[in-house]
Amino acid sequence: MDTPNNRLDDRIALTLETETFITSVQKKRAWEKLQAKAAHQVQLTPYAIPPRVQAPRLSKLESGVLFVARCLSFLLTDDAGYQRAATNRYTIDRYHFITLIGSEQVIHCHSTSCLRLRII
Amino acid sequence: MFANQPELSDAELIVNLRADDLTALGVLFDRYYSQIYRTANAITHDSAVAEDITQDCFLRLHRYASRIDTSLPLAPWLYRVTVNLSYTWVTRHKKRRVSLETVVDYLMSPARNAPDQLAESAGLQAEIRQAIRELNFNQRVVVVLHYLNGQSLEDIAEILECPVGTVKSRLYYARENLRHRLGNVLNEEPQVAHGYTK
Repeated sequence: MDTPNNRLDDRIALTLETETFITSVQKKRAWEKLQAKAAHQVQLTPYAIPPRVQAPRLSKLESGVLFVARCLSFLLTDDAGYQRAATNRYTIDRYHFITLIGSEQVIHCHSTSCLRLRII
Repeated sequence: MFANQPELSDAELIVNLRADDLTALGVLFDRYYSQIYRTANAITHDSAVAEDITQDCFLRLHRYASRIDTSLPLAPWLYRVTVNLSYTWVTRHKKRRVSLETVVDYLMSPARNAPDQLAESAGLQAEIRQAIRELNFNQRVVVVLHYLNGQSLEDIAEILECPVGTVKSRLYYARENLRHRLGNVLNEEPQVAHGYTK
């Protein structure tokens, strides 16, 4: 169907296609020029890719120890998580719990700074 | 020019080119010259500059042959180099006035003087050409790659190394600009079907 959109597309394509005419003489002349330049041009060498170094394989025990060490390191040294929790510490005071014996108690979840101190 | 050469793939020709085989460069030149020259000319609107950009593009192909990934198609690499070279030229000559040669070239272009062109059609094409010329560089490149070279949006995104959404957006705004610029001209266009005017 010849919609205005299609007509515009067709017109753009036709205009661009008919904009440039290339003669065989022009192409031949361009090739001769290129050939002369390329003959005097030095090609670049391939990129030197450094050999990939294989990381030594760890035993299951070593991996486990490393994992625990990473977790502890994250908990003890990652300040971003701590700061985020510390900033929002007052927002978690609103949790309410009901015990099995029926009495209602409000448990205040204290600031994470306490929690952190306990871990240390 | 290289019609008698065995039909080799682009990757095989690049491998030969790495050994400084200029015949391989010739076959690739024969294969891609028209596309590259047309693209450069449509972006820069200067045939002499387009010729220089095309030369430079193939010289880079020769120079960087060892660094081209032969597992990927060659055409996007050539288009990328062409667009980058055109961009450099356009940004350097942004403030330059239109040269006398360009005007003469434009007036003498075959499309304007083709005997079989209807006067209205030639006028319309000149309007469209001018409208494309007035698009900003990014929109013009997308229009040229899409309409002249028939590249898909994904291919253009790969050539320009940008997201597909960006290409879609540029193409959309380019078409809107062209539609806005050509609104009256397109509406007045005579409807021609099978050689007979309705």
